Amino acid sequence: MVCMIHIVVFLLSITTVFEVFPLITVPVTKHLSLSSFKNHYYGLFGWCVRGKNQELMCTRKKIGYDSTDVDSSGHVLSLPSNSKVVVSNLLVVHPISLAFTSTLLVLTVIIMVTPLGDSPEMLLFTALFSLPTFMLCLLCFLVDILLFISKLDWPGWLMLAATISVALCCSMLWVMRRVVSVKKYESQQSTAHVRSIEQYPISDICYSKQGTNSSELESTPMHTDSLLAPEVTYRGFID
Amino acid sequence: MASLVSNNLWRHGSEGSNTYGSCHPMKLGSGVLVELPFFGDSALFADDITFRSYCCETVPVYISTALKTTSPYRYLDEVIKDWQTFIQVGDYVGGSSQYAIYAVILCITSNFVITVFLTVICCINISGRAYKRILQLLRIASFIASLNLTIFIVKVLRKLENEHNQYGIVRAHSIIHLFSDDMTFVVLDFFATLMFQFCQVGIVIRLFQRAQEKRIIFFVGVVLVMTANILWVIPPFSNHVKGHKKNWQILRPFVYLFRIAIATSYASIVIYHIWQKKKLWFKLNQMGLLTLLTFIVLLLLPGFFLADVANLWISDLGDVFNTTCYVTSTVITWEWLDRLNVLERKEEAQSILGRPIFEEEQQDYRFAKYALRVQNALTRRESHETLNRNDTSNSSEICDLQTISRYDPEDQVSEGRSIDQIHFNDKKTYKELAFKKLSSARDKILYFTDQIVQKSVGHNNNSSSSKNEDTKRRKAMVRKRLGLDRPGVYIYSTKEVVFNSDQDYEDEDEDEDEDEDEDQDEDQDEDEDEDDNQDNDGNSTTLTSNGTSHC
Repeated sequence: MVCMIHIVVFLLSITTVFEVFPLITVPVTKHLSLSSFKNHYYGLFGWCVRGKNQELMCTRKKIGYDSTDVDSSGHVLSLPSNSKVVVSNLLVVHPISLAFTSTLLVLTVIIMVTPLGDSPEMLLFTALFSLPTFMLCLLCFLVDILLFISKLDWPGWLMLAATISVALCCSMLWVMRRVVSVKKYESQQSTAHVRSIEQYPISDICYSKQGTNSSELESTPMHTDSLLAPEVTYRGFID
Repeated sequence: MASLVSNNLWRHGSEGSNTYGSCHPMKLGSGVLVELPFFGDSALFADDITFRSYCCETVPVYISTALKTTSPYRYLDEVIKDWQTFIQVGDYVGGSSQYAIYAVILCITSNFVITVFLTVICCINISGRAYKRILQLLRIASFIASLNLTIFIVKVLRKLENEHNQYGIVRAHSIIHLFSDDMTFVVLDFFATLMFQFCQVGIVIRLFQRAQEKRIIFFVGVVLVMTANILWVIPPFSNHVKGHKKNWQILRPFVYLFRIAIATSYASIVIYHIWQKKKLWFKLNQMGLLTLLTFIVLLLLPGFFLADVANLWISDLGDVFNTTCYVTSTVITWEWLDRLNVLERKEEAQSILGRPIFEEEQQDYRFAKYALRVQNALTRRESHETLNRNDTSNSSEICDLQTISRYDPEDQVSEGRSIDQIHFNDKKTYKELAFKKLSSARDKILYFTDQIVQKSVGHNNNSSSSKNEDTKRRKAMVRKRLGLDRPGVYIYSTKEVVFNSDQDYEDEDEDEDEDEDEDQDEDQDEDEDEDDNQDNDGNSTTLTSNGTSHC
């Protein structure tokens, strides 16, 4: 169990890092791109073109490309998949996915370091939260494939790894929920088991018998005060 | 309807529209016009001759024999130049060989045959009494898909015939437009897909055995399916919304990807389950092949997405492929699960404990509460009998059933109160009332969810099917009386379980016994005789325990 949550946190940390890479593609940085095609470099917040003097000229930063943007040589933007430029607005799923993955990471860290990890409700919530996280991560990869097809650069392919990683985390969280649920049930059972065992010293039984059968007790010498009475343990049951 | 025409237009960029010069009037200058032999042998000289080639919807139409260089009636150089452009265009308005009419018709008819074949299998071969509702839905969906494709093929053939008679051409272009223009196809395809998606939710519910997980899958699955389909039908109406048209344009590709994501999630879950059951792959002769087939068909939809983005041909015919993919990935997976269930049931029948029981079935003292409920109902019945001895037994039985079904030990109102006491209406705070309302609403939702899950995709039912309606009614009454119609209640039959005794242990016993007295030896001989008898019966000791067969 402890091992599993550590693995989940580790995988989610890697996933978060993977999902950060598309966010820092061109034009935020000059060296990373989601896709490169015919001297054009596509990023999450815009696209760039390499000029004759090997200098990158980029569009202003915003999510989704503008079909009216033209490069230095006057060419209109075209996507590697030949899809309409407006479809690039779907790239907005990248930051949303990162937000979800980060939140999931925080939740798993809370589970790892606090006693909330033993709560089935908390694990259920986290496992449920992992479902939209997985869907968004998958959507990110599908959007990238749809826009850039096989012209994807490595930050784009990282989304495939991130999707698989989140899928693994999702499965492990659901397994953890089962484990915690079983543990909680077992602890409840053991508590109930302890409560059902009641201890009565023999002396008490003798005293209780005094009232019912006093004639027999009168003839029996009472040595219970000086002796350490053995105890009888039994479990009560209902017919 | 206008926007439906642009079903996949988001896939076509600016380079998709080609213009052909031969479809516009071309000035040829002066020359001699030679008329065809059938219309006379005359030839005339003309100035400023203008010529436009045979075009259909701005796309040139060619006669294959006239394209040959050896033909005496060759096209003009300008027209032949357009032919070279035409065959290089990759989409459906181009002349690529994959858009030849034969390829498109072959694709549609093969999809039709697969769908009809699987519908017949679904109606004849697949049975599942325990999953009656969801199986009915699957049959209806398959039937709608088959009907839809039948109607579609008839319409396609009629349209091709009309075009051939009217224009002398047969185009794949018109078939592809029919996917979005034909309202019958669009509506039936939408409903078939919706039903198949619900069936897929049912299949995923079948994979999990815990009640809480079934509930979660039901909620999540229904929400996802409803969201995807509501978003799917919005774009046709987006043209009527003024402004923000650009934002609506991305809805169609988003929903397209969303559907693919749902299909991929479904495939992942089922494939994970297939992997978990790898021990049962080769238990039956055909199980291995069926597992392989299931694995392939599950990957059809995600696979077609990749093929789709790589090649627009799939996208344009995507509606036909989608239907077939949904039919195959649902029906074949269902068949695989049915066979897997048979194998698992056999294993459960051979094991001691039978069906696995999960901790959530025992949490909150569910069994104890059920026992209390029955006890309470019986107590009430007795009290009613003492009060109304003249009442018929039928009325008391009805009362009994009602009390079992109505009494809930968790109910805070009835809890801790005797039925013989007089209670005054206690005033409660708003907080308590709100909490009570919320909890009762939650319980009702959960109850109805469980009812749906139980009745549509519930546990297996081992009860033999009887055609006698009286027997069925009696069984239903007994089930209701015992509360078995409620979710999470199972009936267990006692079963003779045979353990193999330990031979070594018996031998040790025999050695010990030999050291005892002669009298005891006589007894031991008798014991040995008994042991021998047991050995003859398979060297076994018979015990009685609770075997299980779930209901």
